[in-house]
Amino acid sequence: METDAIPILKLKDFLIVSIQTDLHDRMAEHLQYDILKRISQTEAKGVLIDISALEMVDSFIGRTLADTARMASTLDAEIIIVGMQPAVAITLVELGLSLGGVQTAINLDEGYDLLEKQLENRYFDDAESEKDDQSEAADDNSAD
Amino acid sequence: MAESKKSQNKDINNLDKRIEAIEEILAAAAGGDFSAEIPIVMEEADVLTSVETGINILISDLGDEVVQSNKRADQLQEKLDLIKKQRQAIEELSTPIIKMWDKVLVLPLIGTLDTRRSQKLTESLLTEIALTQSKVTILDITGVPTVDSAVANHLLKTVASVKLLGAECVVTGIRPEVAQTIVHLGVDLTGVETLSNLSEGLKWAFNRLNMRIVEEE
Amino acid sequence: MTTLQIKEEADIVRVRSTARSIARGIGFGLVDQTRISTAVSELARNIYVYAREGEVLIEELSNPRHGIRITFTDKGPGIEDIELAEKDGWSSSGSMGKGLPGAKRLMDSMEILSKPGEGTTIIVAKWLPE
Repeated sequence: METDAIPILKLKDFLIVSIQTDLHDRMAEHLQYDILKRISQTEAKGVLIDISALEMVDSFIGRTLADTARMASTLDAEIIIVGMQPAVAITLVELGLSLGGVQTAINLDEGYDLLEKQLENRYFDDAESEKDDQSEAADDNSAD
Repeated sequence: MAESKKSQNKDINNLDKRIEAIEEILAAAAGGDFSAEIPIVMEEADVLTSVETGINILISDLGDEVVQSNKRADQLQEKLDLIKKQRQAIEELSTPIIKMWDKVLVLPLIGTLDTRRSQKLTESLLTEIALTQSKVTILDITGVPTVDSAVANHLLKTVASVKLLGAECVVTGIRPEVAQTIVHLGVDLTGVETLSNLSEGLKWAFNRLNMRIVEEE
Repeated sequence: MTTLQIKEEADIVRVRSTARSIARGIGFGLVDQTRISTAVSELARNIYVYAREGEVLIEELSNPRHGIRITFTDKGPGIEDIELAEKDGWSSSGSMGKGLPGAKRLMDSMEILSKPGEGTTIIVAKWLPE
């Protein structure tokens, strides 16, 4: 089983997974667990899963990927599926799986930018709301 | 009495051979060879001669007819090939994928969208997106005369597969009557970005790419 | 004609990649190869999940049209209600129920023969576009 493990790399705030082999069902399940474990160990804020080498995604792999994304987001990490092949995308939609709610990016660069932007926005939003609170408080003070 | 009996005998004498000849001719015709004829000796004409002559005429007519019919079939096949070629030409002509800007593709849809065409369109669009690594795709349906639930379904599938690839998709050029039918048919377009026209679509695309168009002062 | 056995989970991968390479050999394009291998993956998994083991037969067709035919046979529990099983979103195993209806959409034809308690045979086919 050790040889079957798909490597998960850490890069700053994010994790990078590149699936280079045809996934059988148990491998997909293992990968799901490994990713979640690494998220919680490293407190990563995002995961890029590169599937550009995958020649097919059936309902099992599709569901496992979508589930992993949902599970990761409960651990406060966003998952982005990167580099899906056109033939795979067409087949998945015809199969009836649109992976709604799963974020996608055309390549690793775009995926990384997307994660960074979301991370910035998050801190920015927090800062905004704190500032708002302060200014409201200031307004209250001035009214007094 | 004696003479008539004699002629009947003569007929019978030849009968086996002549029937054999008829069988051979018919077998040849059944095999597609209409060139052979039953040999007829007019001087010795009898009851069977008219039958033999009739068979000869029928087979020769049949041969002509088969030649004609083959010719017609060839012509028909030629026409079918022409139609097939024209259909391919039309399909190619009507589905240009335009690179509007860096990372922005436009697909102006013209004509009706059936399953076959929409599958081909989606395939070439997705291939182009992957090739150019585009981020935004504008599907302009100004040239689509009617959007029924089947066409809407095709559009939804195209949009869904573009999204899976990691690109964004906006549908533009929805005419008022198309908007009416979409709502009347109860087609659910939530989750699909729609805008009135192509220039709005382009503005949207620039916005997604964090770009702005500024008028010079 | 190729016959493959399904006995363990890894066989699902073996069957779908064999189907893909046969489809490629017949002349199917990339998208059709993907459609065929995905449909095969769904149906092979059904055998593994419901019947534990079974057999897959892959044939090249040339008459009247060029294409591929794949037959899945098992001696499992069978399908009680075929019409229901072909519906989207219905599943007796707690999966998503995309398997049968999805495979049907990806192929040109699908035929299901099943007797509860005796087993199931599913035949799918896809034709090479003219």
